[in-house]
Amino acid sequence: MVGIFIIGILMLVGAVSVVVLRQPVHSALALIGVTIGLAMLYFILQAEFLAVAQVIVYAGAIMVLFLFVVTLLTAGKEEMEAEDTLPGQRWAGIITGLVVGLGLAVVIATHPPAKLSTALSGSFGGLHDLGHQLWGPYFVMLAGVALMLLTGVIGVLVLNRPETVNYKSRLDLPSGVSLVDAEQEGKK
Amino acid sequence: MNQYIALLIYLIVSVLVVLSMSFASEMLGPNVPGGLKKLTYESGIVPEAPVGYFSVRFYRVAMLFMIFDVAIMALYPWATTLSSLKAHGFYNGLAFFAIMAVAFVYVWRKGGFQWH
Amino acid sequence: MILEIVVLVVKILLLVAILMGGFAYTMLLERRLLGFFQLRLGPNRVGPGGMLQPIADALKMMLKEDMMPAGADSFVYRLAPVIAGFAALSVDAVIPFGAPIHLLGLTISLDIANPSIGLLLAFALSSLGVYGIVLGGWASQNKYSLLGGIRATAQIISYELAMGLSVMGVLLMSHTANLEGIVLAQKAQGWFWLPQIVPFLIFMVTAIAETNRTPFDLPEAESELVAGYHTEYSGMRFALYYVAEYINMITQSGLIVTLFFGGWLGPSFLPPIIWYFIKVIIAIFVFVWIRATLPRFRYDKLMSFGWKILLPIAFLYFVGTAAFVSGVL
Repeated sequence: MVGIFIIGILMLVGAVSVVVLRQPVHSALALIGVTIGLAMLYFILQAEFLAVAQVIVYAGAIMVLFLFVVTLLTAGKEEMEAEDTLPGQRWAGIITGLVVGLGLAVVIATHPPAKLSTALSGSFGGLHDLGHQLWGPYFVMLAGVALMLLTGVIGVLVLNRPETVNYKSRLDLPSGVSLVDAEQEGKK
Repeated sequence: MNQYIALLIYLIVSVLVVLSMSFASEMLGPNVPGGLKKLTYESGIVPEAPVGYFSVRFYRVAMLFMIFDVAIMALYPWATTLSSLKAHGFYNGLAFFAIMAVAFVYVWRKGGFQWH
Repeated sequence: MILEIVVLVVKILLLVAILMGGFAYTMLLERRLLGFFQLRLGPNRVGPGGMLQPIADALKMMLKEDMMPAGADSFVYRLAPVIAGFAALSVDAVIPFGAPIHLLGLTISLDIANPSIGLLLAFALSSLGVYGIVLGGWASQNKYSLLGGIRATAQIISYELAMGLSVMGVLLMSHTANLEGIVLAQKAQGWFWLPQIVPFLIFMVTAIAETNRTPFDLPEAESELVAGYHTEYSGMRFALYYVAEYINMITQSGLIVTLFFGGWLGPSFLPPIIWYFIKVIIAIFVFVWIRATLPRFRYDKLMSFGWKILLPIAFLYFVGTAAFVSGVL
């Protein structure tokens, strides 16, 4: 219980620094800290597999991509102070955040957590229990996830279309001449 | 739970060991400023303009990596429980693979893994 | 309780000592072996057979001037080698070095922790190592360093999927991701390298890539990037990157031995822990041998190699193994 609060506070500090820090790489680092903190929370809640998946997927893959983008965008450049296009947005954000947070706190305080109807086994959250559930009765959900990933793949290729290299136009060939012709021409 | 506490203690100890090592030469070594020491090395010339942007192909492969990484994470529970899931679980797995294989072949055919 | 705490403290100190000593002498071993591979002697002047060379190197590194380039981001620059070293040291906590021993009425397992998801935890911890390289490359504000860091990322996204798939066969056969459980399963079923020969070879290739060693040492390709991501590092910070690389090599050797070669198992005339270290040293020798033999990959070749060759082969072998295990075939 103490661990949850310590990690929670650290995660809050990290989350605030993501927004506040000026240098994007520092923000990305803080975000990595938050994802690792979340993984530790899962560990405390006995969700071992979820915790490891959190580190492997978020810290090992997604944040690497973030850093990948951020390190290159800011290489050797000072971050410029962007002009505030929406005046008052900071205050609006802070107030909205406080209202939502207070609302959540009220709901949590007035609704004590429900008791579990059945006791969890000691290995709950491990690979075996999860495997039996995920690949047994809940496989439909997993198939849905697979379809979503497929959509994601298509999305990646649409957003970032592989360049079809047009050697012809690169060589400035007249339209009727094929690349093979040009190559043989070159050999003569 | 006990072993995770043991692991946490070990991780803290290893951070301390590495941290103390990393500051060793800052503490023990000489500090003689001056000259062109602080310039970054650029094969002997004075460093020119900062590095520019990088090929967009990297981002494509990195995003594809993320997607397939998630798919592989779902396979770890499958692999460890398959012997008790029996044939039913195997065919469920095949259905999952079929979808991911479509994705993989699609990327391949579209030239998503192409570098030139 | 007090006894358990004492045991834990001793285990932690021993593991750190083994890894640090292992780093020093793996490095010496590699330099001597590379010397012999290239028909020269290697370092043999300090102490008998060069045995004191690592100590001399460590002292020299500590007494060097620590220089940070002018434009560097000082916080990230200092943080990066720490992450690299930490990620390398941490993984070994879950690898069992020997069969559990009975002492003073306690059963002591020869690892720091033995969680049911041990293998995944090892992957998770070692996946943090790339941050040390990327951040180090970025913080130096040097073009070569940055390129080295980017290449480290590019390398990870090309081989890590194949690595994940190549251990699936082992998980299928042992029904557990607990590393001790995997070793015990090999006691019953025989060592996994033979039934899993293709995944073993793929894991070997990806393990070399994970440690950034030749032929996959693109992030520090001397002929192209000076020294890659650690060009601007000096003194112990520079040394920490070496610590990370060599401890990673020891760790990956340990994983190969545990997953495919029965961990501490072996004929009973030697104690289990000795068998474990013999196998690890053989694996390290193979790592060095490969470094001495093969030239470096071009990075685009590495990418298509990882995605188009390693990944499909690992996948097909995995599905075949799954068909056997589930009783469909």
